[in-house]
Amino acid sequence: MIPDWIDIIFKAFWCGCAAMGFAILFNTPPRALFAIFLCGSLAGFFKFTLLLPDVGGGIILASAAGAVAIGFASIPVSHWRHIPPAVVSIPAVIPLIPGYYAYQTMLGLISFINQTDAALLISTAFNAAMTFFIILGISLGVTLPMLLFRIESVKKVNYSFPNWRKRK
Amino acid sequence: MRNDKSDEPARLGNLLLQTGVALIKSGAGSSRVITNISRFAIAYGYEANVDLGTRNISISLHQEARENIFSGSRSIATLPGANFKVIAVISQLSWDVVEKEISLEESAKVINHVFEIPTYKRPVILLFTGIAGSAFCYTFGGSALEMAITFLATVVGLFFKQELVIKRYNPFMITYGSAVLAAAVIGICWKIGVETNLDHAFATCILFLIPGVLLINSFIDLMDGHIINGIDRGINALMHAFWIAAGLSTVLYIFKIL
Repeated sequence: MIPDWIDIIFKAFWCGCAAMGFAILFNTPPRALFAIFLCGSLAGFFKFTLLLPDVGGGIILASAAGAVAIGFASIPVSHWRHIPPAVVSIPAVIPLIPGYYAYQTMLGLISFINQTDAALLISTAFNAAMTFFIILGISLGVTLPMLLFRIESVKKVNYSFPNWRKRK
Repeated sequence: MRNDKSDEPARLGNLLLQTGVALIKSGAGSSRVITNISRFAIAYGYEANVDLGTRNISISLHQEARENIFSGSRSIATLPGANFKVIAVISQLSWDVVEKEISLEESAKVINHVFEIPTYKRPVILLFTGIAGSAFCYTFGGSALEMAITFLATVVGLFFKQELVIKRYNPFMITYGSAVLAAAVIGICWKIGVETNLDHAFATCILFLIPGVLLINSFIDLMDGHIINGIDRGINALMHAFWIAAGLSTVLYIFKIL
């Protein structure tokens, strides 16, 4: 049995790989690729940590937290690599998209044609609702920094820590 | 040349229309398109009013006290795709125009050649998207064998998709065809008895087709108040999801898995 934290690191690593794969599919500039890998891993780390039974965040909150992490990370990253934040955040949140719930929803709807069972309809509706709310949570999380700071462009945001030493 | 200002609004207007079309085609959200275009216009001393759909754009230019001095519109033949390099180049250019006062001719040169920027080589795209597919398989709890099969299915499906894109098929038919082929690869592996439980592989082999850019942009547009464009993108994404499901169910029916 692998300890939980190693499992989380593995999953975070593969989330980063998935983010980078999609970044290449979307033809993102090469200078952004490593940053996207890091953002994807960060999101995976947050998501799977919150999903631990001891933390018990639930999948919606976990995905939203991952997306918030990407949203905030994309601002310094876009300064660092000189790219718009959406170019970083969209490939990075792709691993959070609830593919399995979406798949179960489709499969449930298809099975309902042959098998008119109320339990099947309920589980399909549950999967559809989960898909919808996870995507809603992700997109809210990604746009959260923009909404909080009412920014039109990240160029005007200064994320550097205040210079405490000078104040003495 | 520089003193002759009479045709500047028309040239700027056409440049802005081209910029808008390039941004929409490359998968930028509505507010991003409007912000970028306004930034260009303000840098050259004009005010731009933009009317934006997902397949059309109209811009009118004003200058403070004077009335409307340019209006024009463009329609876009294709549904939006994803090309983030174009978005990055145009965003960079819009800031260079503000900060370094680049002339209209020079920015026109960049915009005209924006679609000629090289993309990644095809094998590179296939390899990394395949890795992304198997990464998904891992995070969903798949085994190493399932990851390998997902990699194969994703590469085959994406290769087929690229071929269909070159031949300019209907985008939804492209999605359907690639979903069928990717799922069929898994189905064949299952038929020849590779492994009995390929549930995770089935769920993840079609994930490269999921319209992630459309979905996220749809919600971002809705949040920004571009309701019509948000619904437009959302329905577009739903259509893709529907065709993925149709492709999957075709394969499940053929292989009698369901």
